Amino acid sequence: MKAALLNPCFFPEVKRGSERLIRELANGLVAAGHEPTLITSHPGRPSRADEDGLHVIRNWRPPDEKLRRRLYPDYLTHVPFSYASLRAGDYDIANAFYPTDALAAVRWSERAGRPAVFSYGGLPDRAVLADRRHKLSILERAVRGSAAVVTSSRTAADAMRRWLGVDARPIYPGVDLDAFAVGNGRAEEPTIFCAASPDDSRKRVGLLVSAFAHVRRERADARLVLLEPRNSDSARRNGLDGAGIELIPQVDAPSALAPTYRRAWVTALTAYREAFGLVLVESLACGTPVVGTRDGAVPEVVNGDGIGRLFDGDDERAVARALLEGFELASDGGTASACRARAEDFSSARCSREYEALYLDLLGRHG
Amino acid sequence: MERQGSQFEVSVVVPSHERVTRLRWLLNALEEQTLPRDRWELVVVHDSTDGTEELVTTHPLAHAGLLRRVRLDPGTGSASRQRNAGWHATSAPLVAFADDDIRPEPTWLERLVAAAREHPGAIVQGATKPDPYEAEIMKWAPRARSIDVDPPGPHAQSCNILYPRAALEAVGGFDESIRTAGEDLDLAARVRAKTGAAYVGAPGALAYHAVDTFSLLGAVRFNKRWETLPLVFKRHPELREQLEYGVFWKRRHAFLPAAIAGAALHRRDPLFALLAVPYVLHALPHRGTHPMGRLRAAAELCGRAVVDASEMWTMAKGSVRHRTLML
Repeated sequence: MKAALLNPCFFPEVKRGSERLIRELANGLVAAGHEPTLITSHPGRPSRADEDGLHVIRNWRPPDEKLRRRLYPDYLTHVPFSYASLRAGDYDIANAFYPTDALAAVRWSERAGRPAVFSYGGLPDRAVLADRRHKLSILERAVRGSAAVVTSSRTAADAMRRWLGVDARPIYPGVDLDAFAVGNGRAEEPTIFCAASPDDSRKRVGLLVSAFAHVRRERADARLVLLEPRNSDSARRNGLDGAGIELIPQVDAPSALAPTYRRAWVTALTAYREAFGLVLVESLACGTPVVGTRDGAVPEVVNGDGIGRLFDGDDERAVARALLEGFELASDGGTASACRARAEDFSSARCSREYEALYLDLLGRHG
Repeated sequence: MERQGSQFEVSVVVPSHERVTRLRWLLNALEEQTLPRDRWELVVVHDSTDGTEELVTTHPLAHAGLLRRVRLDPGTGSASRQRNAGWHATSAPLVAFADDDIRPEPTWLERLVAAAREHPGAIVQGATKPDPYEAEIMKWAPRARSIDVDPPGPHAQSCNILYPRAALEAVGGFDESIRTAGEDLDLAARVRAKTGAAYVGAPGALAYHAVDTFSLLGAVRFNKRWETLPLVFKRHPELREQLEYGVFWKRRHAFLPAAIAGAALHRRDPLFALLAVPYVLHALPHRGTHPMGRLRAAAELCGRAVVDASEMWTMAKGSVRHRTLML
């Protein structure tokens, strides 16, 4: 099977969740004997490369700053080139991981008579579906023109049904269980780690910092490890210079955070509207219990008291209580294995298998 | 106030045409209304082919028995025809009209009904504001359109308004010969003239309206719908006090002919350019003080003049057709 994967950007330019998902999905497809090609874009000259079995076509992405300023969606300018690359290849299926790329995939699907898949990485919600010009019409075209729509969780699939009227198939993103493994190195002092970017207000790192002050009243030796913000305003706004707070550099390879997960007693994610919560699964894979918001897809991941705690709303005392309970949980000898067992439900191999099954199913239907 | 034979206090009527996702968002918002469900009913009247039929038969409100639909032949509807079909299909003594591109607050219907109780027999208009989720588009995009009403507004827009059923019956509802624009203003004027009904506002009955953006050509095409407006002002001369100098639909329209003349004549004498100043002052969009912002505002001003000119052209055609004067 020749599968075209489309995403506006890729390593090394950007290393977010969707880029990691594509890389690991490609690994799984290659291992299963398929031929994945990534059609992506970058600001430089067009190029083609073979990167660990993944054929990568990088088209030129013309500057789009003016379009962004005029409230058009991000990543529009490369779409004609992505479409041309699709037309030039002999692909059996195309899977777009971004709405504007789905425009190219859907048009290709209509012309070529082959199936297009659209993977929506976020949590659909009224607040974000029409906040840019033509964003809604792009999304409508993406979801209605694709043979299948994939979301990152059941919660996101339910939201897709509620807000766009589409029945999506949930496929959880995978975690590399070899890179994130249980091991030694837990800190002597109770340590909380948060792998979310303090620059993103949706992650509510400020709430975590406020809760941490309450934790310190109970456990004066507690420490909070956060990623360094890229924006100095974020540090000031979130009060990241408080006692017991340690900032570590943001890393290019997420697996480099594995020792930090193992060092922590608890990993916290105070974000709301999470479509999945990949960092929680990475923590669980390292045997570290988690604390998260009872919102979005987080309760799907943290589905039992043996692996973590959930809190409601934005009450810093409730977050602090959950963190202190997380410390107790970390002291329980059986917690690490329970966490690891839960993380194994979210392996990269499982994710790739589910995508492969979806592709073959669609090709069977189209064939 | 209860009408014999009706189990509901208010009927909500929604006309819809090829806007399935916006309609879905409206239905989702209606799901969250605080007015108890045994006190209201909902009818959607559509002539769409875009999946609306599936939506209105499978939405949770339909499963709850609250939502009924009336289906017209595809493409045969108009706002007037659909609203009439809707209120005729219902029975409650109060009829609330909501457009398919609004998103009411949870207390919308409760407050609209409360205002109707406070003012028996009155037309009650709720407040409509551009959707805050789309506020940035409204603020920055050229040719963005939404609806902003501090009720009771002079145009009696039917995107968020309530009529007593008796008033609708007294005048026969909307005039279906007015297909594209002004049918709501016409209805309110006829109801007030015939029944003496009061026209009151319910600022707490708040709904948010979608923001649409248009290309220059799209905006010019969109303006064709206003051709029926002169007919409404001909029928109801008392409404002319809403017009600038009794003739112009918008103040900018009053200044545009002089601006065009100034642009045409400024080569003969630069002083003629001063004729454009009133229009520029009224029409120049604010895009900040940065030189690029000023350049952008100037560029948008040209587009705005084209749109204004097309509006005036549409009004002129409507004026000829309906033998009246409105520009």
